[in-house]
Amino acid sequence: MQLIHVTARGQKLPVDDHADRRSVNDTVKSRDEQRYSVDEIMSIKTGVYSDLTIKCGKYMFEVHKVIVCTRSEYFATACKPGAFKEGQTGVIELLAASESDGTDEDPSADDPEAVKSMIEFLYGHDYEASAIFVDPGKVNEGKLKNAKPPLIPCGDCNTVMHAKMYALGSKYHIGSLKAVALAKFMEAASYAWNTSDFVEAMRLAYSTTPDEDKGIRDIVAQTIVDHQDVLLPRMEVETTVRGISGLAYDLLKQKGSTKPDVEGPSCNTCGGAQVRTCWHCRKGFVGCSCDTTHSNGNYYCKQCKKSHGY
Amino acid sequence: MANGYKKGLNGADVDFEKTWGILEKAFQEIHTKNASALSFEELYRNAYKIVLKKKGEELYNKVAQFEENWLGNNVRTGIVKHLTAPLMLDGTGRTLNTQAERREAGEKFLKSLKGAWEDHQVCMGMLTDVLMYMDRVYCTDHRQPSIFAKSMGLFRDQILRTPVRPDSPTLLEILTRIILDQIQMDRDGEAIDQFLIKSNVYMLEGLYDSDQEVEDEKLYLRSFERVFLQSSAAFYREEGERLLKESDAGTYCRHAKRRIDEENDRCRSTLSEATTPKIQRVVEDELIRHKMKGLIEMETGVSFMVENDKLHELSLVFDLEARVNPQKPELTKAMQKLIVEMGTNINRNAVAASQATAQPAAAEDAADDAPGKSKAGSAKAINQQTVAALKWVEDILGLKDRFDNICKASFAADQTVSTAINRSMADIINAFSRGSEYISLFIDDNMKKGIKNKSEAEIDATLEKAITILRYLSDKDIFETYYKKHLCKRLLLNKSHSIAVEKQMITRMKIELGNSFTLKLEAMFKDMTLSEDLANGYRNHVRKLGDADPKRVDLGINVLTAMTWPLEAFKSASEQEGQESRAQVIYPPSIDRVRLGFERYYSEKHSGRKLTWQTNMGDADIKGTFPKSKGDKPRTHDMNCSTYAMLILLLFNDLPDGQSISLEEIQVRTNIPMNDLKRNLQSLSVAQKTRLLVKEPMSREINAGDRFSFNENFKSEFTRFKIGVVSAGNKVEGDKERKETEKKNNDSRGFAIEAAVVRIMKQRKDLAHAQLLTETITQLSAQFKPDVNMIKKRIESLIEREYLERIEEAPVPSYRYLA
Repeated sequence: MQLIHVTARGQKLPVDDHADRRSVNDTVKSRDEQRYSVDEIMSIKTGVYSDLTIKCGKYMFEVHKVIVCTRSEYFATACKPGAFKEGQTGVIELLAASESDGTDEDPSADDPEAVKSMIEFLYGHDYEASAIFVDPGKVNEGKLKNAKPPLIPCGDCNTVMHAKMYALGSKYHIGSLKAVALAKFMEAASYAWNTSDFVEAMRLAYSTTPDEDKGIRDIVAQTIVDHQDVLLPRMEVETTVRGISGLAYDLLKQKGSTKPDVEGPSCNTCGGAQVRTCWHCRKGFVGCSCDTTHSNGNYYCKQCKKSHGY
Repeated sequence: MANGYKKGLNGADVDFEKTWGILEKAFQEIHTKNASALSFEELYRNAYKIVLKKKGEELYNKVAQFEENWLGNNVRTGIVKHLTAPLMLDGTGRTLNTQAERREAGEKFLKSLKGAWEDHQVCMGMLTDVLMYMDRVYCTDHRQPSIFAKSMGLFRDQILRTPVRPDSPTLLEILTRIILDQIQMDRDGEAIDQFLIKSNVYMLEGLYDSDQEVEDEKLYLRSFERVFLQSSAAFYREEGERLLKESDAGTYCRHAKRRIDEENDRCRSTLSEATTPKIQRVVEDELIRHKMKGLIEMETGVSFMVENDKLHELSLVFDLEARVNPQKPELTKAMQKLIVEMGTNINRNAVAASQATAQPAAAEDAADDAPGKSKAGSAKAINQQTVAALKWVEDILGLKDRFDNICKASFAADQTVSTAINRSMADIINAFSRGSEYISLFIDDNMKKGIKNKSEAEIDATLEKAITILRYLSDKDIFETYYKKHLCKRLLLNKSHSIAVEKQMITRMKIELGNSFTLKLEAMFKDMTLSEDLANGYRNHVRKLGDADPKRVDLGINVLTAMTWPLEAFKSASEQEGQESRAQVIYPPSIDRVRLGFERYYSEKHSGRKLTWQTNMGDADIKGTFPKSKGDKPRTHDMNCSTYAMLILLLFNDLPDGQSISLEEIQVRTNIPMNDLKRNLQSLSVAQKTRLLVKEPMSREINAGDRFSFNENFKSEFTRFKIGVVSAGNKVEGDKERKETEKKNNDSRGFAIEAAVVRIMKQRKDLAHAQLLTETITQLSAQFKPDVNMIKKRIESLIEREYLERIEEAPVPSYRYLA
């Protein structure tokens, strides 16, 4: 399972509002098709043989217990026969956050879009978030101002969605989802750090995970510390940092442990970060000095390394 | 969005009460088995929300409190209700009610407890599901036991550990007592609901002594099992003692075995598998380990079983002891004692038989018309002794077979026991001083008569028997002496039934006892073969001389190497006194010619060798013609007699009819030793069937002055017959002979010891006394068990003869070899 998967072309997922019964896999692109068997795709697309319905907001997913329950302890427990309502009806209705602004005050409600991505992940071991445009000028503010060459934002840059996905991974006990979301979040944050979306993602990260879950919190703190010269003076950042209990302390700690001379997002081990182009698939990916070159002197992204054995 | 986080984070405490209210209500439903309408999603989400808002601890405590109240108020009362009168003890600690009542009430109680436990499990399972996020986040990070474990602890404290009433025992104690009571009923053969107890045991196994859930602190181990083992021990101790008194050993064994199996089954069906080894140990301790001695020594114990061949029961005893101790010390001891007892008996009988028979045989003499009153008597006594010897061997073999059989059939051919049996066999065989002689006699008897008409397999078995006993014998040198003596007679007197079997026996001994042991025996066989060639060669030589004298006496000869053949075997004790026996016998010319001829022939072939004629061992074939009596043709008889008898008879050839010769005259003319002469005359003139001579006066004894003449009226229904000479076969030695053998044996042992000592010292140069002793004993153990005193004496003698010297300055007594 790949941990960091960079999408080169940010794609807006096609949304079919007319259909209230949607098949998730419409969105699974043919790019990854070789990784699924034909049967698998057919069954998700059409909902054939599905034995469980998951509803969330406007979506209704016809899924298969054999897939969903084996990957998530939550669903496995919910489907136990003879216990709760869900076990008998075969319908799980997840409370959807109100559609108006996507963040209900109830932190236990889910964003239906995120749930959709989660289902996609359960079937395909990966999900895609809608891409968000980031102004290249804002990326290279502050200490990145003189970076040569200037950092060009790529990927989906959707920090909010990745933070939500991370929260879902924690809530529904899908460990692999957390790992994938974390990697995606880290990449997105390296481009989209200077956006109001990131501030929202910051808030989400701290409100949807338990204190002890350091994964996403560390990245948030690291990003803030890295760009403190730009971020800290901003009003909305200040209110948010003040409003989140515990974030201030995390920042302090992070600041103490960060190597001062490093620019940009950095690897925790070597302190550096670089965007490289994969020699094989020609996509950019975030790497660091820890990466090793192939014997031919070229870099490969993790996915290509794995699937092609470079 | 900007105001969203404010509400989301800071308003956290707002609805904890509200959210908990939802959960509490749902928990209530779950406990009253009404959960099917509840939405898992909703409950999980609410619990999730509380934990997200960092209220995990409050939630945890609330749930614990809820469970505690529920268990204390609702569940406990339900169970206590079933504590009916039959289950409560009265002042004396005994219930007054009947067993059936007790059982029924107990089952009710167990059922209610089981129900409560199972409900609790199910409910807590569901609660755990709902509180999954709390368990993950709060319990893990704050090192709290999971809510499930916590609630199990609550169950233990609220239900089991709370006294029913302030001054009465806890439910746990009552439960333990009830289960024990039920098990007792089970042991007494009453049917109980095993599954019900098992369920309760499951409960005890699922609970721990403390909230830490240490694996070996299960409530079952801590509270129930200990009491169970104690009460079982007491029960079986009492039962074992009772059974030892009341029943016989076989029943006891069967019972013990059944009890062990029962307890195993009980652990499987009613209690816990983990208890199996422990209870087994208890039962083994009480019924076997502590009782084994008593069991074996019972009136119907091991000796009784052996006596009555109760193989199956023996195997039961064996199984029991093997269970508790792989060495089986008690059984081994008992078996050894039995063997020694029975073996000593056999030995004693053999001694008694050999001594007792002398008198009755003498008493029977009057009725016996065998010639030579006392001689025949003693000869017969010796014969009786031979029988006793054979009997001894057969008895010992029987004993061994018997115990081997027991060992195989009952003890699964166990190594330890069979070793012990073998050791005891060796002890009793070696404890019998005549063992070596008797074994040799046994072989002798079989070689002469025993193997007649037997198949090869049977012969094999017989030989194997002999070897088996031989294996146990430690004084192999004495055996060798006897065997040589017996073999010598067999070979020279042609008594052996089959030379092939003899050789086979030697081969077996070679395998069993080593090359050096059989070396001399094989030399004897070689002599025999060589002699045959020699005799044939001589015959051819004579023929070639062209001397076709039909009257010439044919000569068959055995040339024996003096050292290898124990020729003294042919001398009776009385002959040892004088050297006169060495004096040459006077041969008549016809015989002497042949003798000289052979001596010449032999010295041509092997110059420098001296031939000594052992006439006392020879025999002769004579053709005798007797004058016809009334109406009969002259009769000729082929007679086989000893060389001496031939010499005597030849004297009468030349005698005119009617003449007689006196004893003294015969002696002078033949120079036969007086004793042999008397014996031969006895068989020629007294024995009825071979009365070729007439003695004057007629009596059994040959006395000085007796006169002999040719018996013209001799008649025999056979054309061929043998003139026997009294006492020629292999028999048990007389006391004198034995002393002689022993003395000789001691001498040869002395030489063997000296040889060994010199050999060792030559190699070591210097050696401490103790070490020398050990090495000597080791070296000689293949032949015999040397006596330490004898070794010391031999060392002394070697020092005197300056083979060795004492090392004066050595810290321990040591010797040095003097080259």
